[in-house]
Amino acid sequence: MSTDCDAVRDIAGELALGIASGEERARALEHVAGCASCRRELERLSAVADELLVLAPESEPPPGFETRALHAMIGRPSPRRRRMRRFFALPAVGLAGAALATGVLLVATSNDRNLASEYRQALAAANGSQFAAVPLRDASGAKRGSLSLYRGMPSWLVVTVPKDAQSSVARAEIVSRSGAHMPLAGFKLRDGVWGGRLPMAFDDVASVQLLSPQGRSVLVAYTKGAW
Amino acid sequence: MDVGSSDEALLAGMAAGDPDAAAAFVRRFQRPVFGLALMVLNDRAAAEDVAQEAFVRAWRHAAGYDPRRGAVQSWVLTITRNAAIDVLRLKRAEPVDPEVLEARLQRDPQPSTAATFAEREHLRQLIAALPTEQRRALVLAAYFGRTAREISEVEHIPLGTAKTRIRAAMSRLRERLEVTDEH
Repeated sequence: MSTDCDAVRDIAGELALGIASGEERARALEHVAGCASCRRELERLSAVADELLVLAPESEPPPGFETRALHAMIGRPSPRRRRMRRFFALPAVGLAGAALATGVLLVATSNDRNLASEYRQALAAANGSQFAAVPLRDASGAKRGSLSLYRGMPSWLVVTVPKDAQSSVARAEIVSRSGAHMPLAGFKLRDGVWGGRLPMAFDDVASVQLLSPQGRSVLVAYTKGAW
Repeated sequence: MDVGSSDEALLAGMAAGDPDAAAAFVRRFQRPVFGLALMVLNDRAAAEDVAQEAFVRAWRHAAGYDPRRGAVQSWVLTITRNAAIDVLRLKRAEPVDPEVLEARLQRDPQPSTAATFAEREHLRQLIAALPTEQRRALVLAAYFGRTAREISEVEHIPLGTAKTRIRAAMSRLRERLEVTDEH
């Protein structure tokens, strides 16, 4: 086991429980994407985390719950449903940028914990063809963060940069293999992290560029060779 | 949609927009979903809202479920836990004391099957056998979504100690569950 493996295993329990910090997750993901042993360890711990939730005692919901839930699910009007929408629409619940869409646990809220949970889900399935993490580098070639890409329905990406680099980045764009530049709508780093849907086909992504307020390229991640 | 359909078949039906599958799905999982929300929030009205929201999210994202990542019940319970923690944080509610919550974990009034009961009982025993400080950290993290830093503040311990407790608790459960599986 390498030093990186040791570092990942130190926080693997937190990753599995969905409570690791953004920076810890980003570092771990980058390693786990290429380390089958750590990936297995994380899968085992994730299975334990799942078992813990199943332990909660079951309880009979109030009368009429089934009908109200169905109304909310399939879109028929229901006074209770409208109340729910407001409840969960409150200040975006500390949204970390746009909602992360893993296709697994897309939820209306994407605070730090939800991001972690989604990461965990993604990691459990990561097999190299569906998940990739590549470094973000500055003009000198120094590594200054990472880009994670997940192929799913929909596909998504997560950008992580050191907090001291956050102020120099104002927006981001994806460059396709044909050379087209596409802005990442809603891009806004928070605590050095942003995640959102991939606005083009997974296989078409050539690079992701983080730009200064003046439009200068500050950090770039190239996907060539990542999958 | 047959109520005897597998969990995965119900999700596939939901992904295809089948309301009958949705009805069967709610019927099948409403007790564990509501139970988990209630355990975390300790408030029946809030738990009902959370349970409903969890089913809405499951309906919207049924197509994204991947069986390789775990059982359907784990999937929907993870959604439920996340929704419950969102509400806890929105309300800035104090979580239930870990000891109280742990006591709730130790009872299961209506286990589904004998096998399920035995498995849950075993895990409960493993949790009960953890050192108290590890057990508290585990409960705060697993059910209340508290980060290591938050646990260090709540428990008045250094961050490194909180992280160690979480890691030790998870590793111990994993090792002992695997030992049992091998026999």
